[in-house]
Parts: sequence; structure tokens; C-alpha cells
Amino acid sequence: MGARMNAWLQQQQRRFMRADAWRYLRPDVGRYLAPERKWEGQPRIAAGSPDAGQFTFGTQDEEGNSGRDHERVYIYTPRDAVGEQGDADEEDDDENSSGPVNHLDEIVVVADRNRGGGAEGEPGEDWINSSERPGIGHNSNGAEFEPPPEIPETKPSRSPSAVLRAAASWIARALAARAFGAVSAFIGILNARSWARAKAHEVVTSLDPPRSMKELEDAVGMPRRGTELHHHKMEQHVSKQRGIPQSEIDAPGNRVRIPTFKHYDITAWYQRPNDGLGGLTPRQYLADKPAEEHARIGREALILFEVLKP
Amino acid sequence: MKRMDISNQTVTQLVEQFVALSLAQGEALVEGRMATVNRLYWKIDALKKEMKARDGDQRRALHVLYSHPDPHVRMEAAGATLAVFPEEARAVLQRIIDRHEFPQAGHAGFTLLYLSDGRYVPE
Repeated sequence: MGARMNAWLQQQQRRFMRADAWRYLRPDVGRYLAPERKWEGQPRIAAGSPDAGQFTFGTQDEEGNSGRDHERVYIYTPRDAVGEQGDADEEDDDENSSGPVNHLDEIVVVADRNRGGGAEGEPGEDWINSSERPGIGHNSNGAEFEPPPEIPETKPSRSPSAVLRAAASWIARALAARAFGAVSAFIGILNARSWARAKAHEVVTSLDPPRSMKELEDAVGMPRRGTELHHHKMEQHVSKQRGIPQSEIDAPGNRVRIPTFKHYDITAWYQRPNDGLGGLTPRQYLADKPAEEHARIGREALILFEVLKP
Repeated sequence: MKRMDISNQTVTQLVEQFVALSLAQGEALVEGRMATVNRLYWKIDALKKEMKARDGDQRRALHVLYSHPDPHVRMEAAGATLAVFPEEARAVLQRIIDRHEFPQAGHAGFTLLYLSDGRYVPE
């Protein structure tokens, strides 16, 4: 299909997709989600099988045996070559960029059909065709989630990232509830909004599972869209105030690469008054503290915002 | 800005204000408007102190907000009532974490961490 035809079809999709399209999906929509490609982290067929080593579909099972890991969302972006995106301690703006464009339709939700969910009726999707929309307290396969946030057709004039952070947060809860069809439909809605589609990587990286400190530190040298560099041992501006040279501030071990939206959350946490600190913000509390205390608090923040494995 | 006169308000009115301020603070938090977040923190703090000073510690009236749809309201209500309903309030915070309701889940996590290691003793 030519690029022009594809663009025309996408325009038609944007014109005619209802904002609440997810309500009209059949309960077994998951069976029609057909992953076609391979993604970073996609599982392979185990040794011993004639097809050993081939990519297969399913939930990435960290440590190989945990039944409680979140279902993963994989992203495939052929133009997302490493190095195309520079290090980003500043927020990038894809819409003004001539670089590669993100496509949410390249996000695929991989459902694990061996854990009770799957083609013949994913437990989390019963409410999709229901006129009764679930609210807080709705229980779906042991997890709870509310209807997805509204995604405006045009980019909000004030803080569009707030809308997308709410969207990412909802996707995480819906995945935990195994509502794969609802997630897929919601991604379809996001995809129909060009301003949201341009930030697909930020949405996807915010769903990353917690990683080890080594993984986060090693990732510093591997630029990835939807991530930013974070000075976890001491906030950068504090280091500068204390006269620490930039080379030391950016030294290996002082920085980690974390999802952009998580970076926003952690930065905001540092600036919000905290009852546990007597009404001081963590930033105010740390003002006269030694480097060790900065590092300890910084590590706790990474863990509690689910960036770092405990 | 006009100063709130909360001393003559009923407990119901204080709870309503608590909800409104918490909603506004939650919105400001995800939008990164930290000056507003901080200003609202002290307004909410004034409400908590007023309710605590009322006969019978009327912070207990915030219990109804434990099931509020907005995670920030639930987090603020739980935080305000840790001294009144310690077990229930902790459970509300834990639930925010379990539901991955970020960014509130991160804030709730810190509160529970500080409670557990004694760095924070609610009054």
C-alpha cells in the first residue's frame, strides 16, 4: 500500500473513530490481535524444540518463572535507531522535530494465554460491551481499573503530557487487570490523535518494569526515545551549587537512564512539601545534608516510583 | 489572595474544601505547576489543623474520602487521618501503590516507608 493511501486511511480512521470506541469491542477481541513482528525482549522458543530460538509471542517472564510480572507492551519502531535521539535531560518535542516519528500502531500488546486470560474470554474485558462502566471498586480478575481517560482530539494547550501520563497510568492498570482488548482499543484511540501518537515512546517507556541499578546505569550510554538521564545520587542543580565540576556530576555511576514520565514524577516529588519531612520538600530537607543522604533518598525515589528493582 | 476563613465552617464544608483543594493539587502536580502544589499544600494543612482542633478530632470525617475516585484525594485523606485510623489509612495508601496510580503511588510509598522505619510519626 502506498504511503499516500496509508495516510488517507489513517485520516479516515481519525475522522470516524469514536472517542469511546473501546466500549463497542467484542469481548474476544484479543484473539484478533495478531503480533507480527519481533521486539526487544520478545521471548524465544525454548531449546529442545525444532523451532528453538525462533521468536514467539507471549508475556516476557522476568527471572523466568514469576507469575506476577506485568504483561509487557512491546514496541517496534523501524526508524528508532539508537543514536538518532540525543541524550535528553531536556524534554524533546517530536512535533517540531524532523527526526523519526513514533507510531502507536506499532505497539502490540502481548497477551499471555496460559494464565487464564486469552482468546476465549479475557476476564478483564467483560465490561467492554457493558453499558455499565466500571469505577473504583470494579474488580476485574483481581485487579481494579476505571474507564480510560479522555484523550482530546487536539493537543491540550496546557500540559499535554499530563493527559498522556494519565493514559500511561491507565494502560498499566488495565494490563494488570489483563484487559488486553481494552488496552488495544485505547491505543487505537491514542493512535488516532496525532499529538498523542507523537509521544508514543514516552507512553511506552513509562510501562517499563523496574530494572537493576546496573541496567539503568548501563543504559546511560544507549540513547532511547522516551527516556531521560537522571542524576540519582544528587540532583544536578544541587551539585552545581556545591561547586562540583560538571565532569564529576556526569561521571559514570552518577546518572541513570529512566522513563521520561517517571523522571517528571520524581522531579515533582523532590519539590512537593512532605508530611514525613515536617512540611519541607525533599529538596529543602536535603539542602544541608551530606552526599550519602542525597544518594539514599535518590535510591529510595527510584524504587518507590518503580524504576529500580528493590 | 483572599485568606480562607475556616473557623466558622461546618465539618461538612471543611470536607468539601478538602476535596476541592486536593483535586486542584493533584491536577497541578501532574502538570508540574509546583508553586501551586506548594500553595495548596499549606491550605490543606490549615484545614487538617482546623479539623483536628474541633471537638473529637474531626479529621475522622475525612474517612468518607477513602473511596473517592481520584487517587490524590484518597492519598491526601489517608495522609490526614494516619493518626486517627492508622490501619485503614495505611491500607488506602498501600492500595494506591498496588493500583500503580502514579504519581501518587510514589508519594504514598514514601509515606509508608517513613512510617515503617519511624522517620515519620503522624500526630
